[in-house]
Order: sequence, then structure tokens, then C-alpha cells
Amino acid sequence: MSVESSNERMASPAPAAASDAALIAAWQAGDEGAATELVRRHTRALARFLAGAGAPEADLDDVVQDTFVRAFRGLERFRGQCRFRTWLLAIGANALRDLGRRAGRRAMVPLDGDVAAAGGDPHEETVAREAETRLAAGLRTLSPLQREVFLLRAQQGLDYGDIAVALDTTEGAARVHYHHAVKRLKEWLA
Amino acid sequence: MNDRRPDPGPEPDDAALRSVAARLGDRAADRVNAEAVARAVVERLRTAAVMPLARRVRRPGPAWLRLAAALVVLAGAGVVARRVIPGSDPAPRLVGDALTDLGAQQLTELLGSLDQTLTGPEAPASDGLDDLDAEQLERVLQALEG
Repeated sequence: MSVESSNERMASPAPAAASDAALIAAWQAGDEGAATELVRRHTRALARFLAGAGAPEADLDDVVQDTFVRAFRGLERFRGQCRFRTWLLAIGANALRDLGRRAGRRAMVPLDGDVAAAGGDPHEETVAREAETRLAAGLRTLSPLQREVFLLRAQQGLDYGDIAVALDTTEGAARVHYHHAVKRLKEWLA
Repeated sequence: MNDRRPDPGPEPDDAALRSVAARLGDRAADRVNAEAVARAVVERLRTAAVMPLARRVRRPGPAWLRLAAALVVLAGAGVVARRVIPGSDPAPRLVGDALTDLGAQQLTELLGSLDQTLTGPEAPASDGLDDLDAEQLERVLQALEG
């Protein structure tokens, strides 16, 4: 494919090393390739978060797509108040709630199922999966906000400040939600 | 925002929970193809016309809309010219009347030339006149006047 025809198809290949802010600015200036790179960059983290929050695996792809489309639609509202990924995960949480409402149920994914991954110790793998399944079940007992705070902190490694901005709450409230979530999950897993 | 909740104290002992949570969703995420998602998202953004302002401005609108806009501007220019130009025909024919005299071939050529005029480098491409500011409208008028 010639350079010219390639450029016709995609405005310009966004460099993988560009910051999120640079990619957002490039997208806003009309560079479709920047949107592609943003999606590539954050899909896995978003999918992990949504799966952990209970997105059914059959719907996971759709919820991930919906989240990105919503994010790009609302990108003018993103002012860098938190990291782009944090903001994206918060949109994902809303998309997942909407999915649950549409489905008339609390969307939850069973995280049990597959056999051990190749290369790992089968026993350790089984134990690990069992722990994940129990944690997923425990997460279902939490309120949506507690669950989201827990996942943003424990799974995504965000600090309370970022979590507070993303979920439109305060840092102190996020901290309290996290403590409650940990306490309840420990009780559940005991 | 005023936070009145009590301080829950030091960080809870959550190391074990964190180690499990860190793996949560990994297998499900493995099945999501980021490249395919990126292609689908960009396609949906195109289909839903969700695109940045810069791209929206460059994007030409439907031909019928541009032609309709051109005819409206043309008619308006005719009316203005009739009022402004001294010594002009006291009873000039309206553009619409003039168009009715043209044959199908001539009309096609006229519409084609208008289309070219609007998509040319001098004229701002737009979805319609609503999107144009005063300066852009003036440029359209000038382009139409030759």
C-alpha cells in the first residue's frame, strides 16, 4: 500500500508513545488515528474493570465499545481533571449500569469456568481461579459505588483523589467506601 | 465539596484481596481484541457522525442540501442586487423565473457548477448555512457573484 493511499484511509498514524492528552488533542483536531490509538491503549484495562464489575462475558465487547463511543462523544467535557483512563472507567461503570437496567438484572459475569491456563501449575491455577470466583461473588454483595471504588483501587491501582474525581465524590468518601468494601469482602471470604 | 464522613483510619490490610483483585477479569479481557474494538469504535464514530469539530467543518454535506443553500443564496443575492444597483432593470426577473426557462441539460450544468463552487477551495464546506458565520456567508456570496 502506498503512503498516499494509507494516508487517505487514516489521517495519520498516531505514535504509540504520545501521551493521552496529545492523542486527545490530535483527535479533536481531526486525526482519526489518534482515536484508534486511544482505544488500543485502554481497551484491556477497561475490559478488566468491566469484567470485574460484573459485565457478562457475552456483552463485554459491546460494553467496551459503548464506553469508548460515549467517551468520544463527551470528550469536550474532559478537562484533564483526572487521568483519561480513570475518566473512561467511570464512563464504563455507567455504561454497565445502563446495561443492567436494560437487561432487568444486575449484570454479573461468572468468573469461573475455564481450565487452567497452559504453562501454570494446575493446582495453583485452580486455587487462584477459585479465589477470583469467590471475590467476584463477594463483589456482587456490594453496592455499585463500593464495588467501583474497590475495583478502581484494588484492581486498577488508582489513588483516592483520582477515584473521587472519577466517581464525583470526595476523597474521604472514596476512602470510606473502600474500607467498607474490604471489610465486607473479608467477611464474605472468611 | 464538604466531606463529613468520619476518617476510617489507616489503610486496611488488603494485600490478599488486592492480589486476587489484580487478576480479576484478566481472562475475560484476554478475549477482547483491542484492534477489532478500535476499528469498530472508529466506524461507529463515523456512522454516528461523532467527530471532532475540525473534521465536521471539512466534511461536505449532502449535495441536495448544498444545492438548496446555493439557490437560496442566489435568490437572496438577486433581490439585494435589484435594490442596491442603481439603474438596474426596474422589474428584474427573479432567479426562480430565470431558472424555469432553462432546459434540463442547462439546469444540470448549472447545478454542477454550483456544486463545484461550493466545494472549491474558496468556499467553506459545511453541512448547511446554519453552520456558517457572517464572514463565511460573505465568502459564499462573493464566490457566487464571481
